Amino acid sequence: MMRIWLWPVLIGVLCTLGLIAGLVSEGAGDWLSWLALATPVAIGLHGLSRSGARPQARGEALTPAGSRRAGRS
Amino acid sequence: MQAVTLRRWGWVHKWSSLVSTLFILMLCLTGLPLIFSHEIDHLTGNEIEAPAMPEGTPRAAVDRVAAEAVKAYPGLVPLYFFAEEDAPDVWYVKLDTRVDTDESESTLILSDARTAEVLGAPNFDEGFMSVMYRLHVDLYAGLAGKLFLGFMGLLLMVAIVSGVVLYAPFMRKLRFGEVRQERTPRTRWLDLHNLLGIVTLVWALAVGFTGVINTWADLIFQAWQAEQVAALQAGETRVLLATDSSDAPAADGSLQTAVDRVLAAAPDMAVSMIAYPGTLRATPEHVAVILRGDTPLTSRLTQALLVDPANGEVLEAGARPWYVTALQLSEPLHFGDYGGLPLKVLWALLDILTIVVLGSGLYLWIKRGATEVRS
Repeated sequence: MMRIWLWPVLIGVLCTLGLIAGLVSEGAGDWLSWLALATPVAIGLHGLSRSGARPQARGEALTPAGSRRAGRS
Repeated sequence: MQAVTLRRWGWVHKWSSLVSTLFILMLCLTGLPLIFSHEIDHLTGNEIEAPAMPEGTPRAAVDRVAAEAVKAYPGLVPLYFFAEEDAPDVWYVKLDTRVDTDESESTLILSDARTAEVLGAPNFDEGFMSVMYRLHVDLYAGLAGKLFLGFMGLLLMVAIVSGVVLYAPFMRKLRFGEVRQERTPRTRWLDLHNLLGIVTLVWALAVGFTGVINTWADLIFQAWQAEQVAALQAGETRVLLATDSSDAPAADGSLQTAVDRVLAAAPDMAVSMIAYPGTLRATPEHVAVILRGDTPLTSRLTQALLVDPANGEVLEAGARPWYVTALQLSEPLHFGDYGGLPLKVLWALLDILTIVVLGSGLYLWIKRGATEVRS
């Protein structure tokens, strides 16, 4: 249970902080919100690129070899 | 989790998603350019600006701004003046045939706050951005369209929550973020759907739910107006500036003096909006002046004061109710406009990731079959 939920919970807490930080403070709060909300974007884009899948390619167009190559780059 | 419980959650996830997906996809796609509407207007020269004048040029009385607006648009009456924080030299003036219409056909113009001259009307009713806006907000169907999209948003909330419940059983044998490469494309997309869904979870819930609240804006303001009118009739008001107070210019029936008296009663606040009597934001007899503070939070959480233009009495009819606070906090959280351009870019990227979650969900449903949920 712990293993499954650790990262999702951490990311969720970080995003919540980021969404609120920008609202309540200018300057430092903005930076905190940018960094916090960049986390899910970075993880998501990393996952997308590693899978070698592109949204418009729907996955099928890419061979497993192609996606492995993409994973190393 | 028991097989039967899991199947039930699977059913909820499938149907809440299937019913709402196409609308939510449309909202994500139309919302993408809307995040940058300010920048797009600026780049395409659609933005109307006031000419430069020496600093400290005196401002025209709002009554004169109203008179010039009515002269330029005969047959219409002014409903509201809006002041933007970053454009102090202009008034946005909303005009309509009567003060109590549903405002769907109203006209918004820009006036120079110093000369009262009408600068022009932003092209809100035609062009690409207008189509994006109407599709995103009300599907060209007024309040019914808004409420319908709000209902789709609620279904999205159900889909997200049920998706979170289903996340654990799918991830039992996987590390966080693992996307299985060696299997079929469907497996890869399933892993991606789970990964992108779980990392965008909080953002999607926040933007989705605040979007739902925004669809209720008209109803919320109607309720607040009714509450204020009831408080006035019951005499449950706080007088902030009495009729005979010497702290401010005496009332002379003009709108400008009424606004000046409100500002005298609420120092350190700036005018965000002026609503004529009879409009949605005011009461039948009072002008409502909506004030904002100067911190990021208080500039959103506004205070509404009522002023009788005839006798100059400034009232507060009850503090801001919780549901108006909820609405006012929902706006920035939905628009992503409170942290400069970087936040807007992140908003757009999270929106694109959400589109991938929706698209992959649809793909997983189309390619369903052999790999149906097993507990």
